[in-house]
Amino acid sequence: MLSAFHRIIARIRAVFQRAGSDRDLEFELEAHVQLLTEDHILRGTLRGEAERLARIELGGVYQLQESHREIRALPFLDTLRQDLRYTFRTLKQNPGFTAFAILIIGAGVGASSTIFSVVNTLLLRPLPLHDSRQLVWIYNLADDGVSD
Amino acid sequence: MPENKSEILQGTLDLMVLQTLQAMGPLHGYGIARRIEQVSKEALQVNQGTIYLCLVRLVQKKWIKAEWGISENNRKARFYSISKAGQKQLAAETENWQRVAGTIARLLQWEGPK
Repeated sequence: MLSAFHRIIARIRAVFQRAGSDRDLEFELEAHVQLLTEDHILRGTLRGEAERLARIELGGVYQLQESHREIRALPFLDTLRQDLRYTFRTLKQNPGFTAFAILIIGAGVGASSTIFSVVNTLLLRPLPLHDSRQLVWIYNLADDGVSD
Repeated sequence: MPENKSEILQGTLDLMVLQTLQAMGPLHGYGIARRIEQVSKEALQVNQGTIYLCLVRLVQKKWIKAEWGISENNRKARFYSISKAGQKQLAAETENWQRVAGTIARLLQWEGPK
């Protein structure tokens, strides 16, 4: 389904254009209320009452904006983006802790990769020979059965 | 619960919006909501705001296009128009809908063996 593909691309892009799209919707909803109000006035309602009716007919703006965001973007990506921003903000406020955390992670990664490279060459990788099972170890035994 | 006011299924609202844009040309959200209300003679109750939830989905599927323009009361408004893909979807959905409606109608008319 091509339309489903278009939609998922649009939703991923929408995650990064949140402010603009929110503003557009707000603008659209406001225009809607104005048009609806004017229609009510033409039908003989007083201005204040007309606007009240218009807002009722449109429905709750905050719920609409929230549902609009859920449909327009990807809620889980949006949450993830917010969490990441919060994380970086907290880290920036506490540079000592950040430096220490980076140091610990660096040491951990360094140690693990060193150990792995040793294990990899010694135990995991096959010998670089054509048929390594034919490889034999030749040594001499002294008369008493002990090697040299 | 009132019996004469039908709840609108999501797919049905999509179809109504596409048909409205096909018949009326470019319209803003308010115009679409208004038109659907008139045609349905207010038998279908749409919370007018839900039209925008439907519109964003249709734009993302590239079945309709959105452009900023000037409304009849000289305000900046977003106008929606149907795309080529949207017309194809409308044709397919219309056929599907008529087939289902025909089946249901036959089923309801059938009064059992006499």
